[in-house]
Amino acid sequence: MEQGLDAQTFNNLFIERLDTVDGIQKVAAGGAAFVRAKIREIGFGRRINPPESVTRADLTRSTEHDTLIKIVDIEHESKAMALNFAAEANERYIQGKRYAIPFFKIESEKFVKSEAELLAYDYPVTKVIEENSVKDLQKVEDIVFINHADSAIAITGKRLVSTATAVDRKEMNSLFKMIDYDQLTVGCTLMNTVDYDDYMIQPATEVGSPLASEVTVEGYKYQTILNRKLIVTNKHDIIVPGEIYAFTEPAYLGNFFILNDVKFWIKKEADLVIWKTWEYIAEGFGNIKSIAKIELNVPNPIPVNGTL
Amino acid sequence: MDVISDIRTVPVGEDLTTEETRLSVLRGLERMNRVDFPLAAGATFGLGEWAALQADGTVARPTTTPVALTYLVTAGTDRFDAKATGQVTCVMNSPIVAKSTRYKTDDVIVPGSPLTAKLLGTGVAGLALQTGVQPIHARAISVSGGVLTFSTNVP
Repeated sequence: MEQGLDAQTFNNLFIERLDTVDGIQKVAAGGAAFVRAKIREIGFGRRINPPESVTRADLTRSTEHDTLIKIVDIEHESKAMALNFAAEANERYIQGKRYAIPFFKIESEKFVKSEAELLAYDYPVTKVIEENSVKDLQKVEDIVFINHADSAIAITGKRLVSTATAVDRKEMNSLFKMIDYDQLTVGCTLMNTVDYDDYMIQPATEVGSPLASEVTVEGYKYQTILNRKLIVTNKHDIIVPGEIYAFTEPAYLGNFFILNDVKFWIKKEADLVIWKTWEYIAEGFGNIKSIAKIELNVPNPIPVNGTL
Repeated sequence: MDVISDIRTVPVGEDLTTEETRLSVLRGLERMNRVDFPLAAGATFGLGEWAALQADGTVARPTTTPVALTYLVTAGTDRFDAKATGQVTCVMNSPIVAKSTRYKTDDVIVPGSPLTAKLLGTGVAGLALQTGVQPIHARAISVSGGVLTFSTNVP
């Protein structure tokens, strides 16, 4: 990529490249590299359950439709027993269970811009790609991720409704216990920035004077809460204020697959530049007991007629 | 296909970490005779059900009136191999110890109770308390947590 160039020069070179076949390939490759790097930083689903790249050879066709699935095994049951010397243990015919994760496509809108108007931008076109394509993809990933999490919670009942109006250690403890009870361990917790703000104003009587003093000046700068990894998101339309999730480590949670890689397509048709981004992914939870959620009675932080 | 209803496809609709409770053989796996029987027209079986031998050599789900030649199903028709062969696998002429959730839970079953295989009220065939001249297919060893452990007494 053209590092160090000013934005207008970059946009100009971008358009010139699109006039040649070789140039289109280079621009597309550059765009794809940029997308891959950025999307891994943003999506919270990828931070909770890191994606694994797969190829067509790893997948299975369905007899029912023209899509692909990946079948993943669930660890089977086993146990030991105390016996007298002369006795023998029970037998077990192994009957493993599996689950299927269907693939689907996430695609950005097809962006169109005339080359002349593109030159009028004061920022690099890669910014447009980032803001209009990459964020859309990662947000849909996260929506699907949370939908599947809620589906699991609906079956297990690991949803605690609390009257508390702000998160504190007690609420987090109640959340974690729903996971710990099933001989699992919480790997990370997911909350939005509103609840994170609430967590930072806990009084010294709750968190101790040293931490309260430190947080008042520097904010809560740790990556963990109660020794569990903390992920904070600003996507309040997915994780509404008051909703906090707990997840186990990925090995006990489920799977997130990406078929091949994120694809970036671009072409120039006369004076129009057209591009879009898409990916084929599969994500889901095989162990539905590995997710829990607490719902607090957090008021809407946006005042109505000046009051909360 | 009108409806996608596979609960083992994401989003998963069941807890896949739980143990298989329909049938688990505890003793006799190595020595038990596993025999395939052709299915009677329209017959289906799940793991841990019981199959009644018919006069034409096929097996069908027993009725509420138990019969002697009834065998424990160790591989039901919910498997693709059964779809291919049109047969179901049963245990024959070999006593085993097993546990199962397929039994009449409202019967008062205690250790040693004689059990007979018949159609339960739930639409599946399982073990129930034997009475009168009904054949004895198994004897209870224990009942705990909704699981019956039994030893078979099959012909």
